[in-house]
Amino acid sequence: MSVNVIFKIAAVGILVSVISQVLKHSGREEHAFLTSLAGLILVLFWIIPYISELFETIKQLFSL
Amino acid sequence: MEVLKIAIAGIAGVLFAVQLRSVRPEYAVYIGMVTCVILFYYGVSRLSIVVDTLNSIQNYVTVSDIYIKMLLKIIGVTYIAEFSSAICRDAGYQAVAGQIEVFSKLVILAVSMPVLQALLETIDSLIG
Repeated sequence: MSVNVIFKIAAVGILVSVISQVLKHSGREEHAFLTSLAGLILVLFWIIPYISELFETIKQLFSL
Repeated sequence: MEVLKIAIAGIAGVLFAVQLRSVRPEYAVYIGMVTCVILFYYGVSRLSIVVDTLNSIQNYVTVSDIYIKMLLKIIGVTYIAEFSSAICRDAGYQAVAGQIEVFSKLVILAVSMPVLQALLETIDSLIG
């Protein structure tokens, strides 16, 4: 639960936007879409454990 | 001192989100969500102190266990509902946020029904 996840996601976001721009200008439209999809899945992989850990703590804390 | 760290993390997250909003709007939502989760996580660790003292108060004041448990449950429900509806509102989906809030209100109402019943019974026993 450290803060550098934010920076990792920002880095992925910037990277994906740059790559998709480049791919778009070089005519490969579908590759650009695939890259952004891959970026999306990668970010989701990072976020999901954090959210589930948070909800586990809440459930355990409030004995919901 | 802790507040400073939280504030800086929040502002950094927001700056990244703003920067990415124009280029890739979905990443702005992700960064917003992650910042929210991290700050919420720090908040929860503070909240456990409150919950522990609440439980320890119990053996001084003989409040029956059900009410304390119900209180904690209501706090938990509001906490999560507010957190998730704020994220949905942030992403631009007011209707979903509204639904989450309505559902959480209903859950709280359902949880607090026994208290109402107990109150009415005591009143009835006093008057009747």
